[in-house]
Amino acid sequence: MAGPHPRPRVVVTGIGAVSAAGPDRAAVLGALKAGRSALGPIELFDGTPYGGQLAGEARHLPRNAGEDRALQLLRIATDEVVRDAGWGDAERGPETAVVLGTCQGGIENAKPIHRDYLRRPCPDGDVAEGAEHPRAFAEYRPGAGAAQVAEQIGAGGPRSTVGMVCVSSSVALIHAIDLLRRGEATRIVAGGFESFTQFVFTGFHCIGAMAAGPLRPFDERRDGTVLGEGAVLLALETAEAAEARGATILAELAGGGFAADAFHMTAPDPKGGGLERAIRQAFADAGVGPGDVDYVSAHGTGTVFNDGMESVAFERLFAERAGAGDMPPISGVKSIFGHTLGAAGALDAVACVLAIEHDMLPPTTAHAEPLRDLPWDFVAGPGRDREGLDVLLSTNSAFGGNNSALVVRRWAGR
Amino acid sequence: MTDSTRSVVVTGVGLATPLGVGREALVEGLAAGRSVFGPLEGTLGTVAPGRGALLDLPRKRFKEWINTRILRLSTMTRQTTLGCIAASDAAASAGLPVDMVTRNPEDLEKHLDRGCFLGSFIVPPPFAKQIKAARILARRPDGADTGWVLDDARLAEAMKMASGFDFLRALPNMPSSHLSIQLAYQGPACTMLGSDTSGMQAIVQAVGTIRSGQANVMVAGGAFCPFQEVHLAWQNHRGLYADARSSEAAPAPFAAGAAGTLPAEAGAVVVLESREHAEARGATILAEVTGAAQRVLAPGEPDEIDVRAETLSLAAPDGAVWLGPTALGQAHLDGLEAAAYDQAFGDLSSAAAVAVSPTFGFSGPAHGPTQLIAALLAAKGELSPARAPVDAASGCDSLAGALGRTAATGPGTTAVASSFSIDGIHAAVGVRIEG
Repeated sequence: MAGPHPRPRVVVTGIGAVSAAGPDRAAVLGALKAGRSALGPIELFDGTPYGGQLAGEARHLPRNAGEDRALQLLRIATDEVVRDAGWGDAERGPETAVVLGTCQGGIENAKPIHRDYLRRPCPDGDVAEGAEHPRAFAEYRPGAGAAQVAEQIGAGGPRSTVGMVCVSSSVALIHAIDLLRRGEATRIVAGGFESFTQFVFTGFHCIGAMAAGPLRPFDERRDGTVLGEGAVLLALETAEAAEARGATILAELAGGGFAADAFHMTAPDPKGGGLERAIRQAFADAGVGPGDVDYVSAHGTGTVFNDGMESVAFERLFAERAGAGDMPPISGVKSIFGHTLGAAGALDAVACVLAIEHDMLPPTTAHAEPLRDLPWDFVAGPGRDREGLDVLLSTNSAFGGNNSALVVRRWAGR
Repeated sequence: MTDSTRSVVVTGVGLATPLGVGREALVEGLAAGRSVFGPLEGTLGTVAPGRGALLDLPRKRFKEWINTRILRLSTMTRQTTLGCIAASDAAASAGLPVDMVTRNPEDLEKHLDRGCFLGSFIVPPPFAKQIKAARILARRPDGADTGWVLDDARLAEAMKMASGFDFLRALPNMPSSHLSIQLAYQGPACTMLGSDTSGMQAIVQAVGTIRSGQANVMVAGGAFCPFQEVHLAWQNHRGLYADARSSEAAPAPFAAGAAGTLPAEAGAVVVLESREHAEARGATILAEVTGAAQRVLAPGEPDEIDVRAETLSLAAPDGAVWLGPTALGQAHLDGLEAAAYDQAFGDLSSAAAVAVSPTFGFSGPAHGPTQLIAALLAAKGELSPARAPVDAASGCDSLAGALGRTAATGPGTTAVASSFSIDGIHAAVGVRIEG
């Protein structure tokens, strides 16, 4: 075993992103640039008993395609991320890993197949035998998504599934950074996936977390969140491996941190202590400080508690800059795509990568009355041109008091 | 900066198994060689396997390990409860504070570098479609009807009972989140999902988290309760379980005619620390981690046994005296495991193995960590597992022989435990006992 050594740097060489905005990363970029919300009335099930709320459904996705919806989202994103990264046969094998996050990936996986079972006539009048549909059972596992990606790309390295609700995919990205730094993999497909399901929607509805209208991050009128769906994957490699194969490097994942509030099952620490610690860890890991940050992609769920907690943490973290009227722009892209839960952290990170790649600030839609009248730039309206973005911060928080932060940097070479 | 040479040590173990809470219960139960399976109640008892092993602990006693002034038992799933009891037991065993109810800022400050990783499984609430699905799934691959009876009244009742708390309880991060709240650990917290290996994956990941400097103390392991319609039906369909409705036979790992395992609930965690942190606080070090590895069987890989053997070799590069295999008692999986141990370690004639499955079965993500703790305690000399010789299945001779054997114990003795899952994720952790 080697002793302490300079750690490898981790870079992003590909993106696969299926969301309410469309089936690829171009659609994400288009929605961000236009500041165009992809939220709309619920179509996947009857939403009227819940009050006709909105959702960020991937309406472009074929329905009843004979494939579980979450795995369908994931399959399309996997195709894109591999294509975007330019991975081929040389990237198959034990040095390629898969680390995914999901909230309820295993819960409804087999629902369409169950329905088919129930409808299927059997000679003896009983239900069909499960052995004829082995996929139904394989897809029950919460790890079915990671297994599918591994099979699709021929990944034989470490494979794990993180179940941390809203921070699932950002924690998956942090685990992936660790695996690459420790030399346990050379390249990793990391990110998260979540389909929009009645079960999860009902759960959020039961606890009063849903918005009556649009998702309004950091707005005084905010009244809850709007759920979305998607699969968002990043191709991560050591910089050395990416350069060796002449890959186009989109950005660097310079550091990450995650910390627990250890406070309450559902309520965040109102002081934002856990989030602040996660961000400070990420800063330390990336070798940057609050003064270096050019943009913050906040969790911004539009709930009273989350946005309140985040704003307090940001206020403390950027106190010096706020005092000087130099707060970095902060936006919440969930207002565009909805809250994609297990995919949310990865989608926020992708927004940062695209911001660097296309010199723009991702916007917040449906934002008009700043929370607590804070004089901060919430990037309301369409995406804004901004050249020279270097250090970008992406943050997420979850029920149970879990917080994560990622520092995404422009790649300037080694 | 990642330091792959940073010494990670085990300073505590915590258990909530069908044998009871704490390592003493495990030691006594395995030494006695008794089985603690009982008939499953209600509709669960009508389908195979029909029997299982549960922790027989009155709810009012949970307060001995769970601080109910900061956690509500009513909002915790059974597996979250088992994880919290095991974590509390582990923290006490490591000489770490358990009761953080005062939330004194100075005390909390000491917990910023402490985290918890727990392997578990998503447990769906009692919704109608899951129950319907269970009815369908409760048929074995050979087509034999398991006798599941659809209870329409129960379906209606289940739907009425569904609430927001059902949803919150079922959120996958709740097991590790409750641990962090219980112990006031404010460092990394994560629930690993995916497979029966996730408990061992949590330990592997926790070792890496300490080595990368993100934490100095990690409580890591698994917690699981399989006594839920869909899960039992699914495992049943896999052919994992024996049909014990008309038999009281216990699982017989590596034995000829092994018919399958039986379900168990458990929480099993270890306290991992950086050596310098443990020494600085004067902790008793039980063992040092010699290796923690996970490998995956990829499409096109030459042989599953090779992958399993490589995982074991990485965890125990100098071999191991005490072995903690999965030891399910399922003929096909036992055969693969025995071949992997043979390939990784060669001659096992001086090694000894410990297996909890004949005593209380298989607890999914908690099983690997339980086996690790059992192997560690055996290598330490605290546990002498009783095991009658078995008629070994073909190819399983070495591990079957090791199960009935004793071996060296005490400082310097090595142990390894492994966890293998059907989806090809293999994880193993090795330790060396300290004085």
